[in-house]
Amino acid sequence: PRPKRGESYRLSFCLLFSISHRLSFSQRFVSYLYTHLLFLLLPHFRLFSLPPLFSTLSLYRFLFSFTESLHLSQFLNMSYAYLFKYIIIGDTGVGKSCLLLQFTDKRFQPVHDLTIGVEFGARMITIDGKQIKLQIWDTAGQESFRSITRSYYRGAAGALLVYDTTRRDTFNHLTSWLEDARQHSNSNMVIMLIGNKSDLEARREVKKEEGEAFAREHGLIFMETSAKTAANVEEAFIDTAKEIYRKIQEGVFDINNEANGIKLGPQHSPSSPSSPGRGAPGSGASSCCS
Amino acid sequence: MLRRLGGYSTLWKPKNPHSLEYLKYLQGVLVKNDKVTEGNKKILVEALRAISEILIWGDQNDSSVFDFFLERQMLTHFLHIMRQDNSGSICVQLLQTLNILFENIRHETSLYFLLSNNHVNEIITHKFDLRNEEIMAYYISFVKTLSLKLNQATIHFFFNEATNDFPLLTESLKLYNFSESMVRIAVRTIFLNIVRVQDENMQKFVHGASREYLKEVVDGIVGVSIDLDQFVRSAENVQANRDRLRTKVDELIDSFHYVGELLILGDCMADLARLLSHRFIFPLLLTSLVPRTSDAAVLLSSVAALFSIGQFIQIVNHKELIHTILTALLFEDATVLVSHWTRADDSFCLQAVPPRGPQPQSSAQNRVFFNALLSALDVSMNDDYAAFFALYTIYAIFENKGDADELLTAARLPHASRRPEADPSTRLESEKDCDPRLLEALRLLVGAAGRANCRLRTITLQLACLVLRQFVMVLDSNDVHDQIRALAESTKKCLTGRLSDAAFVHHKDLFIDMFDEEYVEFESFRLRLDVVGHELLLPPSSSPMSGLQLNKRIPSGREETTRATLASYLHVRRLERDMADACDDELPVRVGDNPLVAVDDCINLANSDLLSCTVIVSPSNERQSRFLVADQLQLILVEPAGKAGWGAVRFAGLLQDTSISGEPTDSRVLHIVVEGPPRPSGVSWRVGAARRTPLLQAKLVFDDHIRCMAGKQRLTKGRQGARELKHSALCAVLRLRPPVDARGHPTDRLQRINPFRVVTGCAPGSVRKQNSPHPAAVEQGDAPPEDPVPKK
Repeated sequence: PRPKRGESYRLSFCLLFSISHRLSFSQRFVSYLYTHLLFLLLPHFRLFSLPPLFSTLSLYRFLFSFTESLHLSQFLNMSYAYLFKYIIIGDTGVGKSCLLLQFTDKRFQPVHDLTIGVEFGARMITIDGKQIKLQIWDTAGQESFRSITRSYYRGAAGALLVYDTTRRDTFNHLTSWLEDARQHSNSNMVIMLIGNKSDLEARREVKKEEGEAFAREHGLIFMETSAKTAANVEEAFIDTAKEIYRKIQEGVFDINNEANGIKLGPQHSPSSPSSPGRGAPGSGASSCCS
Repeated sequence: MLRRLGGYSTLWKPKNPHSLEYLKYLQGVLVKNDKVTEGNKKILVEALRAISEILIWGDQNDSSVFDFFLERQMLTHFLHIMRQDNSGSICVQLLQTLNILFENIRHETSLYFLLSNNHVNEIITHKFDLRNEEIMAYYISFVKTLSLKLNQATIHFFFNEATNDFPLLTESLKLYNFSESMVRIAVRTIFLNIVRVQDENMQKFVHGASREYLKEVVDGIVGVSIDLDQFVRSAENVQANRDRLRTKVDELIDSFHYVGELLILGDCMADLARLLSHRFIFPLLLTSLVPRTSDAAVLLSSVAALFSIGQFIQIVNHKELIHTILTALLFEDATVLVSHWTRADDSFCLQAVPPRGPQPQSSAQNRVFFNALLSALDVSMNDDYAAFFALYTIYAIFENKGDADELLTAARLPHASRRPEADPSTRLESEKDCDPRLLEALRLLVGAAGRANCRLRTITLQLACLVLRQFVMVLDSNDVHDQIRALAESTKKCLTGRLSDAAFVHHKDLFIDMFDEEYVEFESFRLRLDVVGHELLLPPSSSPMSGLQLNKRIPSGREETTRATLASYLHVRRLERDMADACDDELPVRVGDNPLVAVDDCINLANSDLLSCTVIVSPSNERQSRFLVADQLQLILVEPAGKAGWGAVRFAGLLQDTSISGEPTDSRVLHIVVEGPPRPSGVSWRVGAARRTPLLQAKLVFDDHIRCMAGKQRLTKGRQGARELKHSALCAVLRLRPPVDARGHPTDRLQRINPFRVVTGCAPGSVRKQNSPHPAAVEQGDAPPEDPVPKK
């Protein structure tokens, strides 16, 4: 006996939505359209001649990989409402690159004997129903030029100040990092303090309370993360973005002043015609780093 | 099944993706998918990504991986694929892969092999679709990563002497004016990384190839300065423009740092120095200091010009350039100005000044720039708008790192000598000298602070004191020292006179709080000349609505005037102390001789009145059973400890900062708030935050309303007494005397009757601290500790 068409249709939807809870509304909407299309075409694929259980299962897996690829490639170059630029600062070896990679490129799974340094990453997120693109620039290797560090700080709307919970010295250096950041950045820059490597509980040298106290004293947002297990990594980047977004809503940021590290999306600035490269969604211009 | 469904659309993924075998498999995938189609894009992207991961792993763990990569010339595959990609998705992945590859590679030999066959240069020159934000970001990051690998050994992989080809430089310079700021910053980084490589031939090439670029950089600086000046003139009333002004200031300072770093790094940068002086310093900055000679010339306001000169001298330390500026600024007349900027449509262009007829050489025409500097210091008629930046320029000249000692000596300007002092006696007599006109101008400026109607902002006074102090450190002429000491004393006297009304009449109640707050501010505020700019570039404001700290504006209203006078007093007082070589033992103000008790001290309460009460601390609502003690100065909550008559301090706060109120519905309850010491307001994120935070906010519940009344009375009297004590101690330190009436009696009678004597014995209500480091001993206490003898 074949499954009723309606039943399998409904099941697919449940699944689709359960996996797509992290997609934005418009992404979900497109997935929805695709599912529709799929079911219209299904009879032609003769999928239903397969055993029922198998067909539904493979269908689900197919849908799953499909939405995943949607998530990765199709929407990256979609127009966004805002672009926020971030920088990551902190001592070497605290896991800045790992954090960046964990957030922007899930395809690199952290392995314990391999650290991959990256300079740049970007990803779309959704806040308040708005597409927001985060660009994260690592400033490593440029500390020798004062003119460059100054400019980097000021070109960013958000900064992640990272220390290593298993190394006390990285925590002790926070003050000088923060001083630099405050001095060079625009005063509205949102700074998030991050205690990384929270998975290494046994080797912990800096208590969570100390991080909290430092953050409170200096007016920062605080979070402990693990780039290895991905704990709190999403939250760290997204909460920072939320804070920036809130400041935009309050009118604190002058969004027309690009020096603040905030850029309006193409649809906000009618003067600049959308360039072919970032054209319509579906051109699939890029597939990495979603 | 899935493979069959999707064709060859997914990669095989082994359990351990880090192995030579997997790299071989991936290489096979690249070979098989020689032609890029819509269908195999995804798999290619994934293969490229996986390759980067294996290579990094191989670099760190297994050298055979890299050998395989080089043997099979996989970079060629990369190039081949890249050239076929028209949509960009593969290019982005490729750039990320290469980026990761070059950034993470640790073995030098691997790096050399990677660079050895010119593939990298082909990638740099490949015509990527740079309008695509994503491609652009990865491209520039890639080039920047490469530039960080530049050194004398690797430069030949990038710079081909034979063909005079240096794509890393030429391609990145094309992007110097790109719309995205991060790209512009990256281009600067790349250029700096190139210039710092010590290779003669390359430097020669850079010299030729960057000529146009450097001219653009300098003209960019000119443009920013003119923009900045426009905001200086217009931003006073528009908040958004003020942010723009700040942006421009930052941009200008960034550029100064950039050219400063370029000038230090490269031998090929002689051009840059010449461009800067011929296009920026003479025709724009120095021209703006002298009266206008041509209607068409673009001039900066003198404030913006002085600001730029000061910043430039402070940031750039290229010897020849600094010499050129200082020579002109200190000695030359207007004949050195041979060109100026004029406006042409939307841009500016440099034009030669028509030669002037021979002018009579009067003394006023000599040293025209120096005279302009001195006249900007004059605050007798104007406010201190220009004076601040003139001081700033003088300070910058003093501190310059351009090794201009001889020049400054000739100009009779004191300077911080950078050379190790061999023998003070060999110093020329003239080195101890200071231009009398300059010294006089500084003295007038500081002296103006004492005048009642002065419009001198505290920050200007602070800077003036700083400059004088620096001068005094290097001048060892007794005359100058005496002059400045006399000046400080007389100014301090004037300020004291202006404070006595405030202390005894207008702000009697608040005077100690105001002083405490200003003192904290004075102690914590460090003059940061590199960040102070944008706030002071606007005309001095007297409105608190300007959002500026009080020291950066003119006070409005009586309270602010008193605070500003206090701040001025503190600065002049410090100058006076420094001149007298005296250390400060009077401030912060101390009252009485007894040391204050601290939490966990053990104190003898035998002669004190104790009131038992329950303390409910807000906001936690924690209930504690305590005894309340009011000392002369402190409110103390104790818990019985060990022997009878002794208590352990659980809380101590100053009575002067305590406020007390009853509760209408419950007569046994008192509300108290004990404020902490004031905090500096200077740090930007604290703006708007309260100056003080409560140390304790609590509800005290007494046994009955009589005890409650007693408690209230004791605290209220204690507070009043503590404040009186503090007030008189403070006035003693400031040498303030109460104003007297016609018959010579103080108008303020309270001052004569001090109800709280400073007691040396065990007076009722007083508490003395047992300085015992072992409270445990007290608790075990075999014998009650001796009543400590008060220290003499």
